[in-house]
Amino acid sequence: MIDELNALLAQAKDELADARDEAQVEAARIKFLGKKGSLSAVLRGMGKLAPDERPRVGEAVNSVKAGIEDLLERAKKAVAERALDADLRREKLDVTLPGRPQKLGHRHPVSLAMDDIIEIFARLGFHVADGPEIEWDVYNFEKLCFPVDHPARDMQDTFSLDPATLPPPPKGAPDPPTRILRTHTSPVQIRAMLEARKPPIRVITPGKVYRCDSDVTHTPMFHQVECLHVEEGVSMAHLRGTLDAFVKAFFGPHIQTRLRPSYFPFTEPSAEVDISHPLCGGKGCKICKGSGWMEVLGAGMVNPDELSGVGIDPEKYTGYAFGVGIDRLAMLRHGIDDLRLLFDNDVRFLQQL
Amino acid sequence: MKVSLNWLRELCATDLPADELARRLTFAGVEVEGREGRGTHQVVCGAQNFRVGDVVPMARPGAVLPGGQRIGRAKLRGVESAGMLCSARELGLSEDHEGLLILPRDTPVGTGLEELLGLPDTVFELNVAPNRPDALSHLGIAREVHALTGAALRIPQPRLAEGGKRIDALARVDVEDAKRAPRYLARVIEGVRIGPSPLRLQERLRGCGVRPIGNVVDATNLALLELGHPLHAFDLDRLAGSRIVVRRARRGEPMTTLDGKQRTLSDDDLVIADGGKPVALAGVMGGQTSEVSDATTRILIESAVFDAGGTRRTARRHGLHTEASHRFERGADEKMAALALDRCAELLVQLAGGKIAKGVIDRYPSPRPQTRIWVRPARVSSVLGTQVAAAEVEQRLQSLGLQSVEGDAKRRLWAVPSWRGDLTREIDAVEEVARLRGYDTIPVVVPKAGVGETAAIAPEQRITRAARAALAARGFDEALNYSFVSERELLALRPDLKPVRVANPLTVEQAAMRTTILAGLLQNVGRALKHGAQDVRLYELGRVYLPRRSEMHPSGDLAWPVDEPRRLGLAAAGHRVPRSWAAPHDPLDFYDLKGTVDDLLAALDVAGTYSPVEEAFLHPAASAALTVGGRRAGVLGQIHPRAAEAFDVPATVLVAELDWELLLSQARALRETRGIPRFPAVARDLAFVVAADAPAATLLAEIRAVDGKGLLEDVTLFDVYRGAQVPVGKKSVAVGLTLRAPDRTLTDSEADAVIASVKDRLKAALGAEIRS
Ligand SMILES: [Zn+2]
Repeated sequence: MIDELNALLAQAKDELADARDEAQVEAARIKFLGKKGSLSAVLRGMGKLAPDERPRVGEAVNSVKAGIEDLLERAKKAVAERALDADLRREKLDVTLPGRPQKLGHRHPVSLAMDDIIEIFARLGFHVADGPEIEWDVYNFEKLCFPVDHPARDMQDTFSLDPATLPPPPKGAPDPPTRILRTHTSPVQIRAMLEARKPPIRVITPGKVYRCDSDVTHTPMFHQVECLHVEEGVSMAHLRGTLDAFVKAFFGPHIQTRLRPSYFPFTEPSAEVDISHPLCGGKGCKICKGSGWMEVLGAGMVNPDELSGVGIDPEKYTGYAFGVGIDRLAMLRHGIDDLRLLFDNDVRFLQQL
Repeated sequence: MKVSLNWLRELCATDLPADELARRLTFAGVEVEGREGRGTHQVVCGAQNFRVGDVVPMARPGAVLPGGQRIGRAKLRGVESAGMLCSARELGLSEDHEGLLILPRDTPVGTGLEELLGLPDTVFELNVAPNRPDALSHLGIAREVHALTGAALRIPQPRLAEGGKRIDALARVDVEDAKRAPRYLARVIEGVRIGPSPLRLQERLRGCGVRPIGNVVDATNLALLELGHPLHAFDLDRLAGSRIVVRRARRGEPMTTLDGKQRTLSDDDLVIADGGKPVALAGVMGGQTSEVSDATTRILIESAVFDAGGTRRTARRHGLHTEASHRFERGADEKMAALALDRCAELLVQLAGGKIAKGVIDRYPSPRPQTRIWVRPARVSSVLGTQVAAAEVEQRLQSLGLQSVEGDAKRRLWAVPSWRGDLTREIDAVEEVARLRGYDTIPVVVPKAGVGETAAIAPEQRITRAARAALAARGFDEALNYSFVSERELLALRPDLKPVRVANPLTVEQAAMRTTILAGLLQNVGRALKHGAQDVRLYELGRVYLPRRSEMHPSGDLAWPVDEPRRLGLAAAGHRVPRSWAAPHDPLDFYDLKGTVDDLLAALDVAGTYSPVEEAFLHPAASAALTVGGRRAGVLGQIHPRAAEAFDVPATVLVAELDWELLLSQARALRETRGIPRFPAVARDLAFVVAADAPAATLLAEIRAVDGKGLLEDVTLFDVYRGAQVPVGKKSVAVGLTLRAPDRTLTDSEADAVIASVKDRLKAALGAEIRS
């Protein structure tokens, strides 16, 4: 009888494996487990068994019944899965059609570079100071130790402004109240020191500057960031350290810096700073004229006369300052070869970034 | 400035190769910008300026042209040509291409041209900083080389054979303005013969970029290039009264300078006059009337020192920049004036013959006292951030010609040589030591972060970043335009604002400081559309320049000269989404722009309200003002057709200009959170018909005004309909209401009560007809 039961289970397994739909599964259930089904037929033979055999056979019956029920359940699921799958496949998308577009905007490379610079200097403990672009001539030149009637002023071709179109100078304004478009961000040094009154001072001042000059490598407006650090015990070694940290943070850890003596009225000693060319890795290429170096900024120790001019004792305090052309940095970073592209605002250019 | 290496080596006996010399000079602050090897190149030519008997340079067959082409034997017009006769330019010697280079008739035929010309040579193009007039000469560079290498310096020692009459009997010099001309020296030479200089010296001048003129003028130029002091030769016979008067010009006084230009002088101009009229613009350029000519036999050489500022003013006033003015503007050496005069006289006699009159005229009422500076080696070390020994400081300063006066290893007083007018303070000496030992000897030390300044992210940075992200998500690209545009364009947008004008603009298109940030953006949009762009969305965050007192920096020594508030400008044209199979290609409209501004305000956590506005550059029926915190925060809308015309853009362009300073002041960098509601909301929709011109803001305000118990959480206006099912002059509006109680689940009857009072309010206040 136990053999009979096992045969039944094997038969159910075979038949359910072929079940195509729910009707076939239901038919199988009736066939095996229905009142007139195969299992009932077997059970009916139980009465003929010896009493001591009954518990063993009863157990076998239950286990075969559970086995068939499980097979039925699984067959039901399989059938439903197949039906769902067939249903899902009825309508198929062309996944190679383009996605539904949603235009995203792009950042301007100069303002992006400016943000990075602000962040890098924040890590070094510098905060942002601000100043006007229409500036007092006195702050742009005299306070920065440009001698009056001196060719040092020719280093920067200045845009002057029509005084008839300017408001009267406010109370306490510098004398003479001549106003110009600032030629560098350095006058913000003066403002920052006048405002702070007392060192330590650590500021950077990003912004627009203007020089009347226009060709492939010059635009009449460009961007600079000035860095100023005045404190007791600050030396030219700190200038080198800050420059090095900045350049490496901006371009990468492999970038080297190099200082050459130079002249700026507001710094002494003064230096022209080269960095190893990021695009060719300092090996030398067409852009860097084979030298492997690019001149990117001017730097130096703050001229003691500038410090005393804003009431800071130059014997006690020393400082360093440097000014970087942000546009040049952005160009180097993105491989932009024409400065003018930066201010044409051609969307075909902006959207590449 | 150009420096001949052959000449330089005569003055300082260095045997460093050109490469190394260039490197050493550059890293000591005299930048070698360029180098030019000079030798002869031999080329073909067909000039007509020569006569039989002239001696001319010839290129033999086999010679190679500068372009690499090889000269061969050729037949020209049936005649065999073996080599070619050459001009100076073809030989690579100068730009002079007027004809063959004619050599002196007594030139030995067959001599190698290079030997005649003193070639080969290397010429350095130097970039000399404006504070280093002492380096504007071969001697100056020789001094640098001496300081850098220790190679011996050979300063020219002129040997003059004075003879004949005493100078006082031949000429007279009066200096009326000794402030502007602190020293004036003169010598007289009689019996000179004007002619060309020897080839070798001509070539030397050419190499330094100076055109040879004739022996007398060449002598002054050679002395200038060698010693750096400007000299001038007058034809003494053409000086009325054989006099020199150094005086201010009279206002309006006329004069013709050597360049042939008639000039009207200012009373700030210093002139060299003779008995009557000006004969030279002092320190800038000579005049025609006293110019040396072929007939000249008696020369007065001037060697003077003119005040730097005054020379610069005169040069600028007359648009002149000469070798002389370039040096006087930077400051001349009073002592060198005497040496240069003698050197020039020596050269002149060598080149043009003649006799030097006895004695020198020297008007030098108050010699400048010698500068002395105290230098502490410890200070040198602390400024440079590296230990520099006292002995090294002393050695470096001595190598530059400074002389120790007194002091010890801690502190020493140094006398500065007359040619280094730029050395007046200890820091100047620090710089000299630093550049001579090399900046690469300075260590790299990162300063400790901190010093009391916080490195925290400023709220402004955070807010700006959030705004930029919102604009990028809305598809706006960032633009950066020039701050100056054409006044015409500014007035087309803001006829009420007179802009600040640039006095010396590069073009009229860049002549006025922008009063609105939209001018540049509209240019950008116009250009993009012309290039075929379908969709353009740009924003710019930057300053405008308003000719009024600055709101934030109004007075005192920190006052800003004008008001420079920041503005956020938006400009958009084209479609809502890029052209695609998957979405309708609808054009942008006012509500797209408004949605962008809404997103921006949300990013800044700022509440704003919109109201109709009349703005000259905006469409009167499709523009709005934005109000934030009770103040006007900007305008937005479709551009006015007239403004569109001025910028040549379609009238469908949308623009916004927002007051960024106001938005910043109202924005919150960080927000507080409120948690998540604990009880469910009830959502109800409501549709009603009202007058077509009833503003949405009014409807929403009426609805919000209803609930007194704080149950109405949100109102969304999700449909507006005008058409067949609605009477003329009316519109149907549908809103979704979200109701919620903070402390319990709202019952249906509570919700019904709120909806009922909303309906009542709409009926009573707006005559609304409730549809559902
Ligand atoms: Zn390179």
